[in-house]
Amino acid sequence: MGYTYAGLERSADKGVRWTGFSNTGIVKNGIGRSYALRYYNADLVVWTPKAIYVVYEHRTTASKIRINYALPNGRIDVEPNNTWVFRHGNGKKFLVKSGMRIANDGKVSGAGNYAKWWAKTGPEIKRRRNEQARLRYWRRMRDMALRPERFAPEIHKPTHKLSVESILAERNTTIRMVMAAIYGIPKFLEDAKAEVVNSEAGYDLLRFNLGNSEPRWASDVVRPINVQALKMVCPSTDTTYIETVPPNMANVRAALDWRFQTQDYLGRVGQQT
Amino acid sequence: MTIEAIDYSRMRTIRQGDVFFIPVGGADYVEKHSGRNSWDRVQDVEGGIIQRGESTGHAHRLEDTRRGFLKKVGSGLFVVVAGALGAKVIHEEHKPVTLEPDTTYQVQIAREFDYGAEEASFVRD
Repeated sequence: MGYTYAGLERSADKGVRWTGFSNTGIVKNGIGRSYALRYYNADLVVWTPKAIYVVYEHRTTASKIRINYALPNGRIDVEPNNTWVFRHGNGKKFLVKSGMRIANDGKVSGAGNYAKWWAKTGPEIKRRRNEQARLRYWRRMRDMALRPERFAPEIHKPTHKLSVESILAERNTTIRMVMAAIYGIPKFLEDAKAEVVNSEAGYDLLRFNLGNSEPRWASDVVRPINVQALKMVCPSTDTTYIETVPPNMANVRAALDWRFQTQDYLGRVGQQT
Repeated sequence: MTIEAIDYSRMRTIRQGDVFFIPVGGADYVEKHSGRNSWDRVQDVEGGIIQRGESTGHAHRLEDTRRGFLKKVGSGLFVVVAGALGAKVIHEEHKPVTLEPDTTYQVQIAREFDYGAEEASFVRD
C-alpha cells in the first residue's frame, strides 16, 4: 500500500516516485514546512529503507556522493553542464525528470516518452552546446589576440596554432570567421589564395568564402559569409598592402569609396603616393 | 574680364598613403563654417603633424608650417593653404604631395573593416 507525502509516492515494491509538488495540504507545522520547501526544489528523491536522499540540480558533489551511496555505484553522472544524469542499466543516459520512478535497487522507470525523446534529440542538443562552448572559447581567444590591452599579460597565453588548413577544417562558419580574424584577415586571404573579384587601376578586390550562414528560423535567408580585402601597391615604396573592407563591397570602386568615405575616389583622385 | 568661381568639388583629391586630402573650399572655408559652440569651434593644431603611424612613428606632416595651417573643427581636421605657393606634405616612406594654394583640404584617414568586432553582427548562427 503506497502513500503520498510532499509529492513523494511511496510503495513497498516500486520505491519512490516523485510526482511533482504542490503547496497544498503539506505545510502544517514548522518541520513539515522545511521539508516541503526542500523537496519543492528537488529533482530527485530516493527513498531507501534507511534514509531519504534528495538530489538538487546544480549542486555540489556532496549530494552526488550521497546518491551514489544510496544507489548502485556509477549510476548517477554529472554532465559538464552540471545537470544530473541517470545512467540506465542499458547504458543510455537521460536527465532526471519529474515523474521518474527510482526503485530501491536503483532501477529507473517512468521515463517513458522522455527517454525516447532524449535518445533522439540529445545528440543534437549536445552538438549545439559543444559548438556554443567552442564559440565562447574562440571569441575569448580572439579578444585576447586582437584586444590584448583588456587582459592581464599573465593570462594572455594562447595555446592554439592556427593555419589556413585548420581554419577551413572547422565545421562551424561562425567559429571559422573568428579563427580567421585571429589569424589576420589580410594574411588569411593571401595564404588561402583568395580569388580576385575585381581589378581596377592597380587595385585588386580579394574575396574568400568561408561558408554559408546557418539559418535558425524559417524566415532566415542563407547567405554566403565572405571576407574581403583590397590589395594595393604603394607607388612610393612598391610595398603591397592588403586592407580589409566590408563583405558587401561589389567592386574596387565601391571598396575604395568606403575606405576613404568618398563618392568617386578613382574619378577624382589626382596625386597618389 | 570675368572672374569664375572655382568649383572645389571638381578639384583633384590627393592621397598620401592612408591620408586623403579633399579640397572643400577657399582659404577662408574653416572660418565660414565654424562658430563658437564646442562642436564647431576652430582649434589650431600646432606642429604640423597630420597623422602619426602607431607602430613606426612615421608621420604625415607639413613641411613648412608657415605655408599651411592645421585647423580642427569638431572632430574634423583641415589643412588651410593660405599663401599663393602651396604647401608640401612629407612622410618618411611616401613621396611628398603638394597641396594647391588658397585652398582648404579636409583630411580623411583611410579606414579598415574590423572583422574581429563585426563578426557577430552579420554572422548568425
